[in-house]
Amino acid sequence: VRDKVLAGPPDLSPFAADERRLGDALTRRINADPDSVERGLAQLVLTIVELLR
Amino acid sequence: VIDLLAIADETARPEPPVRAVRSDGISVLCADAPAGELTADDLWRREALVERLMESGTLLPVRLNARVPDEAAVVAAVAGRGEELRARLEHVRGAVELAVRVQPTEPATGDLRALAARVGAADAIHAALAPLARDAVVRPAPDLLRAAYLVDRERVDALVARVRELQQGHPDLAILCTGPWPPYSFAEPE
Repeated sequence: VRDKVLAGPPDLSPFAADERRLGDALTRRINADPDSVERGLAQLVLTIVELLR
Repeated sequence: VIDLLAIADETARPEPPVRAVRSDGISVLCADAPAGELTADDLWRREALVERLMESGTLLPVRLNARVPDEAAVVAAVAGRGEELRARLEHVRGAVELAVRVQPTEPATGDLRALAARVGAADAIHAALAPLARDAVVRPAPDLLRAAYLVDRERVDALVARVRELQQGHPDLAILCTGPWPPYSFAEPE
C-alpha cells in the first residue's frame, strides 16, 4: 500500500497495526474450518480492502 | 468460475483477459477466477487489474471475491439494476476515491480532555477536506478519522496539498492519504 501513499508522515508506524491485523486475518483464513471457507474468505477479502485503504 | 471485477458503461471495450458481459444497459467486466485458494497476492493482482480498467473508463468496482459460475449468472447478478447502476456510474464519472486516515502519533494517556481535543481535530480535518470532494463517507473505525472522498480527477492535487497543510498544523496527529482508488466506497447506493 506504500505505493499508494499520496501524503503522509515519514513514519507510518501509527498505521502499522493494520498490517498485523491483516497477517492475523490471513492466518485465520489458512486455518479455517473447510465448512466455513466461503464465509471466511468473504470476511477476509473485506478485511484486506478495508484495512489497507 | 468467473470473477466479477466492475460495472462499466455499455460501450466499455476491455482488453483480454477481461471481458464484458452486457446486460440491462451496462457492462459487467469480468475475468476467469484464479484457480485454487485466493492469496493476498491474488487480491493485489486483482486490485491492479481494476485500477488499469479505471484508467480507460468510468467504473464501479465490485467487491473482491464476487464469483459466479457462468455468464448467465453474471446477467442474473445485475438483472433489473441497470437504471440504478447507470445512476451510480454518473455519480462517480470523472472522479477517483482518496482515503484519509488520522491516528495520534502518541498513545492515548486516558486524559479525556486530550482525547476530546484529538477527536475535535479529526472532525476539523474532515470538515476541511469534504468541500474539496464530490462526496464523502466516514467509516466507524478505531482511527480518529477514516474517511473516503470521491474527488474529481483534476482536484486530487488540491486535496493532497490540503492534507499536507493540515499535517503541518497538527504535529500530534499522523494524517495518511492514499489513492487514487477505484470508487469502492461510492459504488453502492447509500
